[in-house]
Amino acid sequence: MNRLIKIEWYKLKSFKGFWIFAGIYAVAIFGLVIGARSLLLFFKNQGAEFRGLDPTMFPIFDLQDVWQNMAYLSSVFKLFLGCIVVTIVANEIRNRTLRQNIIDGQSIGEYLKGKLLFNGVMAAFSSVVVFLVALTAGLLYSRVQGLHYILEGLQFVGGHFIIIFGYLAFCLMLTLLFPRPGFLIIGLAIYTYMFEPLLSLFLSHYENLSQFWRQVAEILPVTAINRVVTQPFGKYFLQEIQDFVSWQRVIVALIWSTVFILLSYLLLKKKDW
Amino acid sequence: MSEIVLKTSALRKQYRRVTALEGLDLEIERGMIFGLLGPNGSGKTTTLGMLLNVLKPTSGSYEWFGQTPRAELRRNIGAILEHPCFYPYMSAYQNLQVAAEIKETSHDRIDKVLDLVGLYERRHDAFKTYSLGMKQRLAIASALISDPEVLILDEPTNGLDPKGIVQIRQLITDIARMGKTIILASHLLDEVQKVCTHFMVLQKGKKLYQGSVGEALDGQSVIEIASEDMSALRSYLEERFGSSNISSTTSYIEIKQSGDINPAALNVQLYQSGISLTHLVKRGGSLEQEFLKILDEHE
Repeated sequence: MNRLIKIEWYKLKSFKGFWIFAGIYAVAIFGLVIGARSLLLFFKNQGAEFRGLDPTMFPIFDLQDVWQNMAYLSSVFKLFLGCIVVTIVANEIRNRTLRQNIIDGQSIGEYLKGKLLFNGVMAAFSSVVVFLVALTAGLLYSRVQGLHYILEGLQFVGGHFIIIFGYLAFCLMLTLLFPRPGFLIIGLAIYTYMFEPLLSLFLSHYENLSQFWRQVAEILPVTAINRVVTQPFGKYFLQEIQDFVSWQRVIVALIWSTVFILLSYLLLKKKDW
Repeated sequence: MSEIVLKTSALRKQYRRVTALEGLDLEIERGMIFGLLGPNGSGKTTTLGMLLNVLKPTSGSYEWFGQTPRAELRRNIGAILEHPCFYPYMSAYQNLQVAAEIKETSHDRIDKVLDLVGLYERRHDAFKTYSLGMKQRLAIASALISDPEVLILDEPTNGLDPKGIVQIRQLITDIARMGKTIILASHLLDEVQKVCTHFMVLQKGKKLYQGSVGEALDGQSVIEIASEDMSALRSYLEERFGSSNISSTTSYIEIKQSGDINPAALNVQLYQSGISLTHLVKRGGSLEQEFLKILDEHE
């Protein structure tokens, strides 16, 4: 296992794309807190009020809320981590180094395991960053403090891990299927941020569709993976939202991840490299 | 010497319309330098690709070292298919780190193999900055990283300048002297003749011929002979070697298939029969003649 991580690390450490996309992702996560805080301060300076309250009192950084908010918002940027997977794997296919890896004596299973382990490492890093950023923001700006809030928040950090890992498995499978990084990244962006959300919205809200289609809307791959951490902002507008990570959603996301991994294995096994 | 390193049984690869390889049966013994000869597109790379698990056989099977193929066995084979494949943004050293890690072999050998192919000085430069010759040499270094028993080289001198070709050939002969089994795919007959002990001819996915280079060349060797009395010479030779093996040109007579004829003994015998020679030359054959003959026979 250590050996497979090492191999992936050798491949990535001098790969520019890795550092660029990882950098953008890190900046985006840190930027979230700074951006949100600056926005609230800006509103305050403009003299805006929310129901008679100072905008900086808006509870997005409260220790009860900050975990779900951060876990959800950071996972929006998962495409940047996906880009790392897409570019490195497409690169390996185009330069035929994947083929050379197999010739040198790596089995298909080992190659896939190496990629998945590294996806796991990236998801873990992302989760640690989310944890640290949420913790810092919470400790600085929260109006309530308490260890139990932090412990409760950990479920969202775990949920974030599952989202990132599942999405990266999705990207890996697509790259093995269609190893054109340019097209694939644009396609992924459109699919992830426009096509599937709109389709899901349509299926769940169009009146003439039956209950069946409403359920389909919830198990579309990216939607199902995203739903592990529910979009939390409705509660600030007095909507009811799921403020915990439920096992059912975790299981659906894990089933999708397994499907992507199995498909990746089949593609690696069946294709000529 | 008779230990079988590679054995294929009815190995076949079918693309939608094209049969890239038709039921290949092949055995390669330890220590052979085996040339895989054939025109471009004859199925050489397809064959090697299947033996290295990057192309899936349509049917048939193969064994390495008498065992069903698995990834661990390939770690004892050093191979490059077609052009050298490396991570372009990584240095030679880093690329070999990946190969060494995959092959579970010590990183200590990296400097050694780089030195062997003359890339030690440039080991920290990115692969993409290398010339074609350097890339080919790095490929050979990479193939040697685990000190493998078998080396597979696919067109190793392709695209090189004459100096590069000589260097690579020298390298191959040096490696062969270390007692390794080498499989060399090439469309260059001269190359196979110079380095190989055995060879096989592929055309359109079919094996046309397999044998040792020495025998094939013997079959091609020719004795040119002339005397003042050409008609006496001719009738003597026809009687002795059969008229089908004898042909005349304007200035001398040729004896074909002369592999086991000793020119010195022949000279003595002719002299004793009262025929004195003005010309006696034994010419070795070339694989080129043999190759063209094999292709002709199968037209």
